[in-house]
Amino acid sequence: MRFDLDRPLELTFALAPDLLLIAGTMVLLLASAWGTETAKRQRAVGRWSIALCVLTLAAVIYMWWAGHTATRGAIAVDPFRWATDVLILLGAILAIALSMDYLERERIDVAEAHVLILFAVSGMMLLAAARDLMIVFLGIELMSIAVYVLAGLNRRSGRAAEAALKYFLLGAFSSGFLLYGIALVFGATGSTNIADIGAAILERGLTTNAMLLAGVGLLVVGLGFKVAAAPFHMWTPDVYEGAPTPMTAFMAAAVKAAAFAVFLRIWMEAFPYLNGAWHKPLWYLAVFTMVVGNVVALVQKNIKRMLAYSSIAHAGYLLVAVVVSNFEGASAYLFYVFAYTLATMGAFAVVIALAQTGERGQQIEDYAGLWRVRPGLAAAMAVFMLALLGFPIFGGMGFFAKWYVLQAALRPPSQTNLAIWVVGTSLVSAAYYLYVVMVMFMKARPAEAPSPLKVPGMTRFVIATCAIVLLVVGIWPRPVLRVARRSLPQLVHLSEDLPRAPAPPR
Amino acid sequence: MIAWLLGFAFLGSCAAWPLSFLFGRRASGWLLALVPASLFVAFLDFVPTIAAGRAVEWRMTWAPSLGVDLTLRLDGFSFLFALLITGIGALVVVYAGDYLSNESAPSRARFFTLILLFMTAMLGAVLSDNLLVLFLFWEATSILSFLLIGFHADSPHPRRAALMALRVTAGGGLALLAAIILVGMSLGSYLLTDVTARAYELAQSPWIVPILIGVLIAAFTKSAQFPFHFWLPNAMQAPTPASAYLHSATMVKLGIYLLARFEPVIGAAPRGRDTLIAFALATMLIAAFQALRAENFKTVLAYSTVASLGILVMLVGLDGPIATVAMVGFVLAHALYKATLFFCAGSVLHATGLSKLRAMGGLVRFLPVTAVAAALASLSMAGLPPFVGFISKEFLFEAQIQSSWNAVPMAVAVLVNAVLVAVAGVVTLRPFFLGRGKVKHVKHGETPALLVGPVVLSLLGLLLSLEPDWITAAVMRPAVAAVYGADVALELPSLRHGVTQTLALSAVVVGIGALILRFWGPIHAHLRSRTLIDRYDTEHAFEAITRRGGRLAAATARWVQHGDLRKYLWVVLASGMAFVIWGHVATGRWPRLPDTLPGWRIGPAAVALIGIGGAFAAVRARTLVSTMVAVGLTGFVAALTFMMNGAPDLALTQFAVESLIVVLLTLVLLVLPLDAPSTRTRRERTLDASLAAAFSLVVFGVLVDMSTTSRATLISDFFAAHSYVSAFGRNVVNVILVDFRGFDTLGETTVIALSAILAWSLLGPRTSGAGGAAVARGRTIFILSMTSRLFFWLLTVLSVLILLRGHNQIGGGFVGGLTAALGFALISLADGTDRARAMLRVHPISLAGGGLFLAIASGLPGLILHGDFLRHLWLEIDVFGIPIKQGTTLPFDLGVYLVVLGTVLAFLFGLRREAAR
Amino acid sequence: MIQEALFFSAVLFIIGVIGVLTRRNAIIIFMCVELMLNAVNLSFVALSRLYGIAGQVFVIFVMTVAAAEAAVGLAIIISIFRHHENVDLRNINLMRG
Repeated sequence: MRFDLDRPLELTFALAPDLLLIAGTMVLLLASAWGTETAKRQRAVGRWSIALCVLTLAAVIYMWWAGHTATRGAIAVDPFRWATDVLILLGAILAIALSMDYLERERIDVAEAHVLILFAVSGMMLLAAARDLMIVFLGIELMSIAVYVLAGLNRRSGRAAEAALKYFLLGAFSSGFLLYGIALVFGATGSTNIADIGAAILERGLTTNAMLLAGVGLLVVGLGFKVAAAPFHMWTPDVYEGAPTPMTAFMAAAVKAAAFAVFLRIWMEAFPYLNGAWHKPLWYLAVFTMVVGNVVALVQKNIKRMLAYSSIAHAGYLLVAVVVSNFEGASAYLFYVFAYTLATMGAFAVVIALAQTGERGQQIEDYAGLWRVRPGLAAAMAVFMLALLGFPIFGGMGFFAKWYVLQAALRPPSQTNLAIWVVGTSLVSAAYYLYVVMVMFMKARPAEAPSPLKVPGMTRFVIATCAIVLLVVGIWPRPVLRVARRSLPQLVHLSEDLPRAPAPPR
Repeated sequence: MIAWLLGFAFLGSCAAWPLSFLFGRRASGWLLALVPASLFVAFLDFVPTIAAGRAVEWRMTWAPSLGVDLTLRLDGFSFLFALLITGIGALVVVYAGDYLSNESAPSRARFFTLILLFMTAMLGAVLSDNLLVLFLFWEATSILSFLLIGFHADSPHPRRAALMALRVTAGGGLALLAAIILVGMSLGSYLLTDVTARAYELAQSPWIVPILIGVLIAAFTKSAQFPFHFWLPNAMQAPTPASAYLHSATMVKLGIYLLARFEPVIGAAPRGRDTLIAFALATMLIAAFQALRAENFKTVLAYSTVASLGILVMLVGLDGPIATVAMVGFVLAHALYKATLFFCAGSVLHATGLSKLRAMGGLVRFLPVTAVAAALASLSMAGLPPFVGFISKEFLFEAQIQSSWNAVPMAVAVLVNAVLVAVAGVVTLRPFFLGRGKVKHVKHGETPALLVGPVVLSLLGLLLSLEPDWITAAVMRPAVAAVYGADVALELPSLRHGVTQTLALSAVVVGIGALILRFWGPIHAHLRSRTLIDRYDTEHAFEAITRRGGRLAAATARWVQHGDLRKYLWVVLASGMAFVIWGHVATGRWPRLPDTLPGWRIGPAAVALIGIGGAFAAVRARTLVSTMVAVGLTGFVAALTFMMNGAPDLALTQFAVESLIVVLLTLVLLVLPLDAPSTRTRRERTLDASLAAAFSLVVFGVLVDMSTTSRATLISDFFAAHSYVSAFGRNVVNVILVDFRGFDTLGETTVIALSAILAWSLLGPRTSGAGGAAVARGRTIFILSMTSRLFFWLLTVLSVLILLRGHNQIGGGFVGGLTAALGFALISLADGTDRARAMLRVHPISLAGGGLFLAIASGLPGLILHGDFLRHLWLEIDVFGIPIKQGTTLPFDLGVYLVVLGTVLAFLFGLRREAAR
Repeated sequence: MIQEALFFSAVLFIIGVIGVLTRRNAIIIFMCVELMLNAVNLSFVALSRLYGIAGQVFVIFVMTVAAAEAAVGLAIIISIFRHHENVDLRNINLMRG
């Protein structure tokens, strides 16, 4: 049906999955705040959190399947939102599963950790749904505040505290920019609704409005920070390294997915007519992000840090989708994030499985000869590395993901140079991804190396699932491709493919 | 049909792992060889089709939206490769069965799996018609080669060699991908057949130069051409069966395959052929030179392989049909004799454990059959009649004579071929026939499995030449036709034609070769003493680039990622500025000064001045307390401005929030004895000041500009068009109720509740230290202590009043909760937090949670009765004749009130626990 | 009126940014960020005189979020203090490269 968002009941229905999640999260919040901190309770809350996520997932899929649409309002009801929700929830489920084992091993008996993840997911789902800058701001803050705390969850670790502080201060600072940007855009267009902003820019010819230009610039800073695009990426490695590993995985996968979803939606719907002016800066942002991420990743010794830089590089590839900001870009984003979520989650799961208590054993060299002692883990890690590299066949759907982004860039009006940058920086990335593979398969295991701990069930499950899904979709990508192709954002004020922005009137 | 073959190959390689365990040391090689052997036989089935000049096609959609379809096509050229891959594959597997008999069972299983997977990938590469699929298989062969080279990974050499080979070949693969993208852009198709058919169109593409560069890099890396040739000799660290298979017979020819497929495009492009031939000649010369210097059996063979690959690339580069014939013939001949020689080298290695040619001798006594096979293969390699090598060499010279090229390639070819003759002689004579007695005994003798490969291949090298009709009709002619694009009538050279030009050239080659062979010792010794080339070859360049790249990356990392938060902030600001400036530059919109200065009014200006003063003081203040006071001042000025702008509700809220933040900060400062010394150096001050000045300048530029815009458009037009000034004087909270139906209030309440739990879980441990044993560290202020009770009750009553204020609207909850929290904060400031906690009695988290439930539940009656969530219901009761209107807004407000109160208290008590640690 | 408020807001924002940049103490930086948010609120309120109530609603949001951020931020700063015994950013630099 077509929801009339001005009617509260229909608005309630349009928000049903989000409300379900928030309500369930509240119950879990109360359940986790009382009582003593024990590993058992932590696991119980974790299980319920997963159950809640699955329930929400079911609601999302139902809404998707029912094919609802909505009138112009603060909330978007379209396949793009549901698809993004699925990706976010997938990341959350995997992250909660991982953190159950991790928290137990590290003796961080904080049941709230799972609830915090759920809170962050609520924010992310709001972001996926947002068609109003107000909701965007609320979603971003809800997500960020929860994630700040997740980064500092391990109270015993000085690094975790530093990670949380850096993330918090930089995040709050960039939120200030985002907010000022929103204020200026509001000042220029008179609306915070994304669709109305787009219409106002077109109708009133605001493409050269000073206030709007400044506002968009500040918005780019704020959003660039959340997606970890260089040069706003500096928090990423420190935070990823210091944070507990499952939370790092969650940040790398879900936070990025949500932030990119809203980035794309704003760019496709509110600012398509500014593309003439903003195409170049975004182009440079994408290229700079790819280069910095990949080059600095080359010299990393710590696997978490290496994966952090790799996630920056992937933000660069995803920015390509924002640069083109057409429907092809949106579906490429969905497919890419699916592959990226699986590979990143899997890789961090292996990191968790191999780390000794206290986050030791996370240097890449610690993986020497892993093939001899844990062949399964080594093979899975190889799949994840190759998937992140975008290697065909052995990297599963990783190749198709990268190819999809390239396709999006090559659709007319084609960004051939951008595509060449993607391929060129991928070449650089081969050096560090393959180095991990080489270390695992070919280096001899030092005699004094501690034998890896037994891998707990949940972690094992996550690793296996990620690897198998990656490989299977890599061999048979059609269904997923079809879904990605059909899950487009519904642009309220535009019926067909976006026209390229006309050159701004001088 | 051909897809089934590919699938069978893949299944066979998957089954290799368990099967090799099942059948043990002796039988598994023979048994697993059935996979490639049966494929070979199956491919022979296509002979009639291929010989008739047709191609077999098979198509399956794979990822249609991405242009990736599984399009397989078996034409003459693919057919030649398919036969080589499966045929030699079968022999390699048999050979490996015995060669690896010393390895552990898992090692052997791994080898079989890898080699069969490699065979699958290789078949896929030569069968696919879609360039993308070709790329997929191309990269797969790279990684399998990597794993095979690093098979004996315990020592660093194979590891280094494997990684080098992978970096070079996989990198080349990405160059291929770039080229494929551009081909797709130019032709709108990724089909190889389209590339061949529309070669001229492609050559006119604006992207032709990058396309050719990409293709050439890919082919040169894969086929070990200068300047990427260095990985191949290093790759000899692989087990010998893998070397025989990958690094001489099949994988390295994939580059040639690609070049041959792109030959029409290269020919149509300006200077395409010249480039190809130039690189080929360089490769041939360097490889020949290095072959003379090499010491190890396998290294000598590797360099001769590089030289042969150079010859093949040159043949692709030469124009004319005979060049194609020569190329196709040489692919076959080289595969036959070089694989044989590798097999023989492997047998020698296996038998003696020696690797240097110098140390070997007289092995004919121990390995007689191997010696004969090696001799046959060497004769073929030397190009002597009646071997296949002779025929291919005749064609080589014929092609050169007929091509439009000058004498340079000819001279180089003569020289290099002479060296190859010498190499052929050395690798046979030295280990097997000369120097009797150098080797006294061998560890292993010959076994059938070790003999099948060399014997079959070396005999084929003889038989195919003696009885050439079948192979010519069934394989060679279709292959040539597939590459050249037209059928070429073949006339095989023979000694019966008398002395022709080519025969004379062959004789010269053999003559020079014999001379080099005669003086091999001195030449070898002399060249080895020259080390200049070792210092300046491309291998060192590659390593230096890798090292430099690493250092550059490390420097970048240190430069970008210094860990200093202040500089991070700095960069964020600078980039933000850059974006804003860019927006103006891109639109050509430079700031303009307004025509008239805005008329400033005294009142607001004064208020603003106070606020600015406060803010400035906050930034400059030396102590935390003064900063706090200054920030508070600014906050209150902000509230005042809200009021003046017609938002009294917001002003009230702002007052409450500001007060609360001041109290919270005070509490924090009581817990943490902090001061704020100035720690900046002079340089940092200058830097900060300049950035701040720049930032101010940019913002003011925008602002000034904005004021001109807003004079023109914002105010007059917009007011005229829309005429709403309606916000003035309306109660915003009321609007939230009317326009937003409480959803947003609910949303922000959620945020608040969230922050409660966050503060609670961040601050201090819950189980230990929270007891009353800890002593309060906060100083008790006497006067405050006396008056705090009074204030507490005053504030509580006030908060309830605010909650109930405007009893037909939502709105009091937030401010009310803040006010109540202020009361508790005062108590804890005066008497310590424990006292405040005792007064509360309830757990603050329960307070927050309960409040949230209340807020949500208050919407339910509306949902049930009217189908509107958060639509509030009203009830009028007459109490003693006075009508009291009450609605479900009250529970909602009360919920918000409780959430806010609980959150603040959770924070307060958390701080307390923190202090108690 | 709107002009003045917008200018006032911009000046406050700039001062906040300068504070964030120049100070070393995490608490002061944090307070300067709050200053920046306050400054934006001023803009919203001023603009809502032009465009209607939406701006004021936004301000309520921002205040709420700022309060939540304050709670979380102070908690994080305290936990840093526990590990480093001060909150000077110069000393908080374990991770780099």
